[in-house]
Amino acid sequence: MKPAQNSLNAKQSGEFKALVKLLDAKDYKKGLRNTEKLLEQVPDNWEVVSLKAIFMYYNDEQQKGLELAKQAVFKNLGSDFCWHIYGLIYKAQKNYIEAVKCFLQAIKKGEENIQLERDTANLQIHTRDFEGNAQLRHKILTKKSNMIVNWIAFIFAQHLIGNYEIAFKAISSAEQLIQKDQQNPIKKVEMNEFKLYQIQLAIDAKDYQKAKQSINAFKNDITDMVAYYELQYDLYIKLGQTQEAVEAAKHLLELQPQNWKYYQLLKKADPQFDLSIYDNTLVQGQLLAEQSGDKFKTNFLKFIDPFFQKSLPSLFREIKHLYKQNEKLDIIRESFESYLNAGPIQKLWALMLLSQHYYQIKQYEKSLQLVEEAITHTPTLHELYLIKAKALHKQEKFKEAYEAADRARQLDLADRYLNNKTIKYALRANMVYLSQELLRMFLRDGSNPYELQMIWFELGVGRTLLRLNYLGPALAQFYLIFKHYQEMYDDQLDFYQFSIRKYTLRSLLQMFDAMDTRYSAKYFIETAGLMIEGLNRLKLKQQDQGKVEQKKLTPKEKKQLQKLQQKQEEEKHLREQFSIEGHIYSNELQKKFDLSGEYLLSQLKTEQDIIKLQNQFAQVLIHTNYHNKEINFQAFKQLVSFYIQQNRPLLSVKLLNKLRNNQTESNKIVNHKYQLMLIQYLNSYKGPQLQYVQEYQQDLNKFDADFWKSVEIKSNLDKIIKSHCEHILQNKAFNVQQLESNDLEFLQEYPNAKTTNPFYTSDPNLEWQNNQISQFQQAQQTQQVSQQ
Amino acid sequence: MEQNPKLAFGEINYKNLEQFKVITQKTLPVTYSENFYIKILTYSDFSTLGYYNDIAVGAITARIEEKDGRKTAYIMTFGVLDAYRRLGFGTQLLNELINRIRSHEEIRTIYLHMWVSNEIGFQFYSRHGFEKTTYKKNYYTDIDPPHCYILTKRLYPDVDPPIPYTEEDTEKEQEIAQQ
Repeated sequence: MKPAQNSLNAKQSGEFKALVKLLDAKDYKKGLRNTEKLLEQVPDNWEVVSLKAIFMYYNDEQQKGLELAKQAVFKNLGSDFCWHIYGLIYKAQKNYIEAVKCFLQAIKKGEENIQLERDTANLQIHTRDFEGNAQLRHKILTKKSNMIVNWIAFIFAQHLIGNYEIAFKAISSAEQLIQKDQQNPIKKVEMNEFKLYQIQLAIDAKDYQKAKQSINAFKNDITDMVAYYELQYDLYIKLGQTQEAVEAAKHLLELQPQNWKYYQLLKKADPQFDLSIYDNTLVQGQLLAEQSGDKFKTNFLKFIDPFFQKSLPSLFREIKHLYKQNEKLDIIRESFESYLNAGPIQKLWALMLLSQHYYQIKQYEKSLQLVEEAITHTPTLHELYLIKAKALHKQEKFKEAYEAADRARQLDLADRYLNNKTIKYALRANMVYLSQELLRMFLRDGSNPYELQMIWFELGVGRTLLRLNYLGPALAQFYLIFKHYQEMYDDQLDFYQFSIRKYTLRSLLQMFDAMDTRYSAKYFIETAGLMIEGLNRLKLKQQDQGKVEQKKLTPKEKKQLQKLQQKQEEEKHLREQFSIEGHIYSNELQKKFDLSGEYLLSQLKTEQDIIKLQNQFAQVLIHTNYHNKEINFQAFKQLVSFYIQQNRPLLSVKLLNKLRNNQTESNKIVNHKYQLMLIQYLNSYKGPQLQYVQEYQQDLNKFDADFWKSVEIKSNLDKIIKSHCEHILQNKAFNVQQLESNDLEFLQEYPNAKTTNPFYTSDPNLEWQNNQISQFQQAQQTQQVSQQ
Repeated sequence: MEQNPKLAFGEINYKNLEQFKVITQKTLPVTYSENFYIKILTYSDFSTLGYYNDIAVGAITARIEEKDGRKTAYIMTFGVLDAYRRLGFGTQLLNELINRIRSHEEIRTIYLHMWVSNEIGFQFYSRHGFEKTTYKKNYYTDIDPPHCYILTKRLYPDVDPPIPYTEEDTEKEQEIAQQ
């Protein structure tokens, strides 16, 4: 960083330089002290004030530091130094858009600092300001055109804004420079990347002739043949040269015969292609789907026999896809049954596969019966206990499912997969504490799931806590996950320049895609849905409390309130006793990650605060899409009442489309209810955006009547929803609290319903849970003894 | 059914101890304490699990004892899961143990306790060169009849002399010990 130029004498100038060094060395305490001393001599020097600002920022006075830096800039608009500092504070705050603006000012005001220019250009990539990036990369290149990295950055920048002609020209210059530079010869792997990138660039530019020439010319420079043939395939498909595309796919299959994707590419290029020439289990297994009748029967037996003879327990995975075809089920079952009377191992696999078969066709009782038989036959095979746990889980026997999974885990304590599976079942049986204990067995001492960003675990814990209605700790877990996703993106910042230097531009482009779609992931969508649901519950809770506080209480109500408070006390006591809120972690850790949610709740005192946070999640959620409709729907439905209450017509329209797109056989009826709510809202909308909404307005009664004509009402839940719909049509309140059911699906839909189901009131399994915990702890002690 | 299926052997450690426990519980009539299982881990040299197709189907455990100044191997547990009997796995487990013991020449015999009513067991052991050397009355407390034999195999019968047959009564021994 360049020191200030004006109004400092030589000694002061020296002190100033020392301060800048302290800033670089991150010695903020001393920096602040010394800056203040210098300011006593030159109180009007705004560049020194700037330094004070950034030191304050790093001494836990963030807001004041930012304010002061801003002031310094406005008092001295011409100072590149002040702009630079102001930008650094924004960057520290991760407000990259503002940081870029400040740095550009600093550059414009004359700071000759190529490092700053490069950092700014990288920030522009981060904020996807590709135009700005291209301008700055050009500037850097003109200054230092003898550095190859500046050329590569320039080429990439031109690529990103679609200036392919310029990019190609620059590539020739870059190639010449690479050849000339004998001191730092390009590595083979770098050359490989650079050549692949050039082919990619030509394809992106739709200059297919150039791409074709490059593919032929570069072959000797390329070592990553998978990437090479993938590009080739892509190109020939675009050119419509089927035969060449087929050849490329065949090359890919030589390299990776177990990759189903490449068989699909082959089939896509030539639908007539006969895949059966590939005699491996992957292809033969997949091809079974296309056969029927006797031919299927013969080939199926031929396919499964080696698995029985060589004893490969993975068979079911290879044939699971056949369960979409009902007519095959009997043949599959009979084929498995034919091994029941062969040798002991064959009988074992037959029992296991039959159990999986009945699980797959949703006959859980039968599945359990068979797996029990298999366990009696071979009690040492842990896979069997997992199959058992899965079937028990489907029957909503969560305690028993945990016990089965834990049995599998005990049989092989070295197996991390079994451990993680057991954790999931423990969480489903509401044992947060035990799940933490289990997780610790595979973590290095001192590490924790929050530092490691173990989203699957946090989500499981959060879901359990929400189910138990511990809102603070539950919301805290979801909020942590949300932050991980932001961190994931910000971590990218370090990689742009790295990738440019290493020529891995193709990977960088893939990272762009991965990052731009990162929220369309199962874990995020589930998290966002649960967060919005949890915040809805928090809102209701606060409203209830508000009502209680406002009202003058009758003696009877006072008594009730006392009872309620007493119950809450008891619950708190239980929570502490069973450490449900995560007490296996140290107090510091709990505080650092706000595991109790105390801090988060303190930020959510008013309804407006809650809505604001809901909105943060909703804004992201509404633009996501995952390939599992059920998961999408469970999250999106949480947005319905939110958008209606917020009076957001356009988003409601978008949401309506999302609900329609994610309709499945099993969510059809629930889905209808939410659509009904949205359409009713849209029908009543009369605001300025009416023209966009009108298309969706329709006769609600007809919409509803038509729907119920088309479906069959099967369950109690269906009935309730129908009556709920009637209430919606008549604009009448629907009293959820009076509803009763034990069914989990029902409770998912009406979490505030009165229920006898254990999981939505207080958990009656505490004794059992306590038992499991002490059993686990005993076993651990014995293991510790035996390890010594 | 393949011919002469082969067992693979693997050590018993604290990570797979539960497998050994399951095999022992399913194959032996005696109930052992937790402590017994932990102790097993200290005798890992002469203890092994037998794997068939990567599945643990049997186990044998033994320890070395000193008897009258001479070293002998004592088989503590030995069993193969029901479904995997008659495939020669017992023989393979026993041979594996004998091979390990033979590498210690100072160990001259292997012995074990066998319940008197275990006819099939006796046939098996006598096929492998074990002899009844002691009839021990009232050895068990939880099965009926409570008596057992001590079966002993001389590893070097051409060199070592035969062992005379004796009778003992555990109850009486205990009474004497108490006095």
